[in-house]
Amino acid sequence: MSSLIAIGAGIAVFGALGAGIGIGIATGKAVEAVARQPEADGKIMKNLILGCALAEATAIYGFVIAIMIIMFLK
Amino acid sequence: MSNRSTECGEAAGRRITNEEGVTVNYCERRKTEVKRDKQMLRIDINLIFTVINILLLALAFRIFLFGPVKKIIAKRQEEADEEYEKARVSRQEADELKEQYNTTLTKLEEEKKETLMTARKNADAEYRRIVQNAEDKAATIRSDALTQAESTRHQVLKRAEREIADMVLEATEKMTGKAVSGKSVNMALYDEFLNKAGDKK
Amino acid sequence: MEAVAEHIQEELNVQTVFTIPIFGGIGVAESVVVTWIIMGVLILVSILLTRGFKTRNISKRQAAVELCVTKLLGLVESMLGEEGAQYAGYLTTVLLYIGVANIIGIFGFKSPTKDLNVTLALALMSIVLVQAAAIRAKGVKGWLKGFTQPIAVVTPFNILDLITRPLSLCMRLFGNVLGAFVIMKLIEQVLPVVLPAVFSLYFDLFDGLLQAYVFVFLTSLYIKEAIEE
Repeated sequence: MSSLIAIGAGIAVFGALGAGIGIGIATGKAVEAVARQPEADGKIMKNLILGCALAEATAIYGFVIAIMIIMFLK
Repeated sequence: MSNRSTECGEAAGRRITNEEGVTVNYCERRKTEVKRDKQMLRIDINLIFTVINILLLALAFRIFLFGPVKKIIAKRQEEADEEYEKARVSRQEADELKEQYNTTLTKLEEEKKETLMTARKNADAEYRRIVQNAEDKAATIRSDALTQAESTRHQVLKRAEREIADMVLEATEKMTGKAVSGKSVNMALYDEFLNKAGDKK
Repeated sequence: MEAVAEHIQEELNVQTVFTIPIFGGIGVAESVVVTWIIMGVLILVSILLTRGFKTRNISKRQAAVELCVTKLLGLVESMLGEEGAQYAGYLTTVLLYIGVANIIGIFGFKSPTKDLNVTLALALMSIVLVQAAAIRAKGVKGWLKGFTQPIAVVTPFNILDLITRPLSLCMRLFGNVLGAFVIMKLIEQVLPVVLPAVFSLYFDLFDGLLQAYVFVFLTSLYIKEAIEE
C-alpha cells in the first residue's frame, strides 16, 4: 500500500517537467529579445518574472497533490 | 476491540512504541496521525475570522495610511493651484495696465504730432505773411522812389530849362549889347526857340 | 528519518492557540493570531509614519512614506485601468498583507499563509470582489450576459471559471508558501547554521513578495477584464 502511495506521489510531481520546459523556453526567448534590443531589458525582465511565477503554478499544484497523497492516504 | 480490528484491517494488533516509551496500538496511532494531518488542510471557522481580519485591515489602512497621504497630496496640489491662480491674475492685471499705458502713450504721441503740425502751419502762415508784408513794402518803396525820381527829374529839367533860358538871355544881351528890355516880348521868342531845340532832341 | 518526518508533520499542522468559549468552543488557529499581530504592527507603523504631515519643507521620513505609498497605489492603479481605480485601496492592502505574511518566516513566526483557511479566504474575497465590480459596472443583467461572451458556447467554461480561478489563486499561494516552508525545515534539519539564511533570502523574500504581487496582479487583471465593456 505504501509503495503505491510513493509511486502516486512520484507521478504527481512529474508534472513539474512541463513547468521546467516552459520556463526554459520562455527564458531563452527573453534573452534573445534582450540581445535584439538591449534598452528594453527592464520591461522584458519584468514580463519574464511574471510569466515564470504564473507558469510555476502548475508545478506547485503537482507538489501540493503529492503532499496530500503522502499525508492523507494510509 | 472488534470494530477496531475491522477498521484497521491488516495492521490491527501491531504494536509500536512512541516517543514516550509507551506501547500503543499501531492502528490507534495512525488514526491520531490522520486526525492530526487533517489539521493541516482543514477548512473551518478560521476562514470567517480571516475574512473579518482582512476587511478590518483594509479599513484601517484607508483611514491611517492612504487617507492622510492622499489628503496631503491633495492639499499640496491645492496650494500649488492657488499660487498659479494668483500668478495668473496678477499677470493679467499687469497686461491690462500695460495696455492702458500703451494707449495713453499713443494718444500722447498723436497729440504731440498734431500740436507740431499746427505749430508748423501757424509758423508757415506767419512766415508767408511777413514775407508778403516785406514784398508789399518793397513795392511801395520802389514805386515811391520811382515817383520821387520822376519828380526830381522833372524839377531838374525845369531848372535846367530856366538856366538855359537865362544863359540865352545873357548871351543875347552880350551879343546885342543892348539890354534886354521888355523881357516879356523876347520871352516868347526864347520860349519858342527852346521848344524847338527841345524837339530836335 | 521517522523523527524528521514526525517533526515536519508537527510543524506543518496549524495548531489551535486558544479557544473562545462560546458555542461549545471555537478554536482560534495560530494563523489568525499571527494575522492579528501583523495587523497590529502594520497599523501602528502607519500611524507613526503619518504623524505631523506638512505640505512644504517636508522631512525625509515624510518624503519616503509619500513616495512608497504613491508608488504602490500607482502600481495597482495602473494594473486596474481607469474605471477600476476605486478598488486600488483594498488591493494594495492585500498586497501589503500577503507580502508581510510571506516574509514573517524570517522573524520566527509561522506564516499565516501556510494555513489553507487564509489563502482560501483571500481567494474567495477576490472572486467576490471581481463579481461585485462586474455587477456595479454593468448591472445584474449585464453581468449575467457577460457569462455568454464572446460566444454562447463558452458559457459553461465561464461559469467554471468562477470556481477554477479562485481555486488556482488559492492553491498557487498556498503551494508556494508550503513548499518553501517544507524545504526550509528540511535544510534546517541538515545544516542549521548558515544555509537557512541564504535560502531564506530566496524563498521567503523573493518568492514571497513575488507571489504576493502575482496574486494582486491576477485579481486586478480579472477585475479589469470584468469591468471593460
